[in-house]
Amino acid sequence: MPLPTGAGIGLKPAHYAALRADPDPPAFVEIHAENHLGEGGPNARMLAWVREHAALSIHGVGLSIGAPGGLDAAHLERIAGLVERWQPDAFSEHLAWSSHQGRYFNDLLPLPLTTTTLQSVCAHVDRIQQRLQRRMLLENPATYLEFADSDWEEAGFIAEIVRRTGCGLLLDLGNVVVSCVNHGRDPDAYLERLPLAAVGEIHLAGHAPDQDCDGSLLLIDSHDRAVSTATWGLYAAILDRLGPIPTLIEWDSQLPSYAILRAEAAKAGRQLVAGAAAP
Amino acid sequence: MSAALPEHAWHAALAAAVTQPGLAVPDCLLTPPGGSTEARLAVYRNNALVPLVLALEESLPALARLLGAATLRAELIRFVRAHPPTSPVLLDYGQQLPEFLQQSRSAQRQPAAVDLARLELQLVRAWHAADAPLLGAADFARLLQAPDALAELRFAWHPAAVLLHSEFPVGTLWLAARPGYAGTMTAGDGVAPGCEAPAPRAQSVLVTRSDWSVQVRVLAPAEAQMLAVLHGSGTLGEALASGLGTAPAVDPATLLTVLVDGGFASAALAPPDQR
Repeated sequence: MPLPTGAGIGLKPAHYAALRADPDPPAFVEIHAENHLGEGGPNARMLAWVREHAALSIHGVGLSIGAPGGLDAAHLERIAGLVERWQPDAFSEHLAWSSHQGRYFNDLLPLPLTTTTLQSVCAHVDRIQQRLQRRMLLENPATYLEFADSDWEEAGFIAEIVRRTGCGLLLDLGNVVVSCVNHGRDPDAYLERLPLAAVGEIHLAGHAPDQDCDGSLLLIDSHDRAVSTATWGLYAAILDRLGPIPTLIEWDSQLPSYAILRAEAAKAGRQLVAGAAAP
Repeated sequence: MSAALPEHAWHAALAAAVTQPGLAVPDCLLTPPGGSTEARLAVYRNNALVPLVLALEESLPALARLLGAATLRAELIRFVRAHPPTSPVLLDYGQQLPEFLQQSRSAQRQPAAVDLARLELQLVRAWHAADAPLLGAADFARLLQAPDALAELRFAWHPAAVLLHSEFPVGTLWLAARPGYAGTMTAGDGVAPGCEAPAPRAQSVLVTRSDWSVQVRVLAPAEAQMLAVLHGSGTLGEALASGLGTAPAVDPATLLTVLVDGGFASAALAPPDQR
């Protein structure tokens, strides 16, 4: 089952009680896989509740798809166990890496975009899709640095991964805004080169303004505030073009009340309905 | 890639640059137009450190109250640098913190910090521990219908239930950091914020989990003694006798209350010949 074409929220334990009491729960709920790999307890109880009342998306943050060498087989097995247990309506991961020689960075780090890394990323996506026996969605990254040796531009690199592996695209529009500002790209041109027909989910998140050393704007993908006007603008344009797409509000730190999070999701929901009603 | 470097040298170079702030920016990185590679690298350095520190802080509210928020943050920054995560699953991250704090100046000043960290990290483990049934009042009422067998009963502990003993009143310190705490902590309690030379006052606490939350129960010495015997697979008869023999004396009904509503037992195990 694909995700429903409504608006969802990222789920945090601080919102468990409010979500269970919500007479009109969001269309879907997304969890970070790695937060639900404990043996039991409230996190598992909450997933059981979600399974009955909303659709579920599992979003991995630790498979380190962009690292060279093999995937962490033990971690892939943990994720496979979680996916098998909860049968989510979508599984997604990032075009990034987070581990090196047994150390986990708890961050999504960039990789050079070369023919060598393309082969490695595709092999990892293939392996994940085989193990999970499903199509995964790959998320476009938010980055602050690029590599001198990259010989692909990012959107084309992602399009080629989608073409080779058959995976879908998790289009993070917050990441598009962040990366385009940070690297001086035109977001419309970037989106134009992405494989938009493969989009299975959209992420919307807030970002924080910072300054580079020359005083120019540097955007931080902070997920700690409301979605920016620029991101909402791209969202409207994408919906015009693609029609309604399941959309998630990601808010991971400086957590708002459930009511504020729900209102942000409702705003996305209204745009989805307006897009569906348009001729 | 530079021809002189191994194909994946970028991976090791960026990993090192992110974790070692003093290191020069690797030359495999592109300088952004008008920007600084160093400033961009600082974002990743921050991301690899600060969220881990904040996540640990969120689990350690009582420790923050005891040490002061700024002191705890400084200790956690040192801890994350010394013990970075080794797994993408962070549910258990920070378990070496009590041992790390043992060597710290903070623990010299506030020795209770070590056991308080142990307690607060145990609460995280309890949250994620495996599910199992919990014996409730109705189960105990049923057991009371066969009074002759009671003394020989043993209990299987719930996976989230843990008995902790400290030379410091860690349970009281934890409760005092809860929102809405009505009691007062003073230097007379042995440990309190700002108390420079605390006198130890031993305390045992029971950590348990119900459906949606984790609980801490401060135990009287007799209650702790009874539970310690039960935890060591002793029979209920042995546990009650041991508890009732512990000073200061308690009413047997008090011990039975802990037994029934303590929330630690997931099954009553009858003696082998009665199963």
